[in-house]
Amino acid sequence: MKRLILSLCMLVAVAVTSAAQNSIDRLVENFSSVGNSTFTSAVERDSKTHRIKKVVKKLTLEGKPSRELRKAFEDEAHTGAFTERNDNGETVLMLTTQDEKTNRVYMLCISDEKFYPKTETTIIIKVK
Amino acid sequence: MRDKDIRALIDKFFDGGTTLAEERQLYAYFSRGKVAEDLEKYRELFSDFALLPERRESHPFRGLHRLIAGVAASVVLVVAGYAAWNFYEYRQLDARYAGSYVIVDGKRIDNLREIRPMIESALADARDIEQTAAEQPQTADIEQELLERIGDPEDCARIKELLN
Repeated sequence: MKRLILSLCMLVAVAVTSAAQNSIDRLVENFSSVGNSTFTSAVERDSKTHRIKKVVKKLTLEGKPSRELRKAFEDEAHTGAFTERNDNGETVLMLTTQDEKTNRVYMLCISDEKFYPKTETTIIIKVK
Repeated sequence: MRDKDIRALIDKFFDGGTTLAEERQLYAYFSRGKVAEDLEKYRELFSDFALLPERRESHPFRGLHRLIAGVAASVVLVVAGYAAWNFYEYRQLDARYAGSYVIVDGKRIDNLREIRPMIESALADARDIEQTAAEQPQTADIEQELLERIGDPEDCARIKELLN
């Protein structure tokens, strides 16, 4: 019985964690380990307390994934403040959200090449 | 010391084969009052030698030993200093960026020293993006201000729908 309760608790925890992570986060994580991509996860800490101040995830890749990423941004647009603009040969989508523990900024830059656009996705998680 | 031994030492002295101790023996012999008659001619000479600063035993490799010891000490100092600097730098990086990593073409790199430029570049870009994002609410404020100026609630609702 104890084991069953523990398993159920773990399932709930996993489900909650997945829900907190939106589709942009999941896509970036999936694409981070594919070929022809560069993914940086930078953790900024307070050097005295070691407490995390900010996590920055930056994914650079080329090709088809830009469409999926763009769709993910559009799907998540309703969750926060969303803007889209075209500037100097690239499209920039930005989404800012917040919850009780973090402020998040998602930015997607897509170059205007038709067949093999270069995509740069940046996720900034600032701990309150 | 017997006169016979002194004569042998004197011969050895003039051949350049005496040790410091043997030379001291000669000086001591000639500094006492009475010496053998045939050796009297050497008294002044050895008295003069006794006044000279003591020469040190010469070792053929003394200078080389010192050079090697100096170089070895310098190398140890440099290596120790480099190791200490490395350790300090690692501690600093760990305190600031522990948990950071990079994946390039599917290969993960956790060495903070190696990926430090990429970490700092990502954080610098993030600061620029945060600056841009901070300007966004001003757009929402302007929209809100515009809607508040419109008196009619129905017009307000219609425009709000258009803006969104």
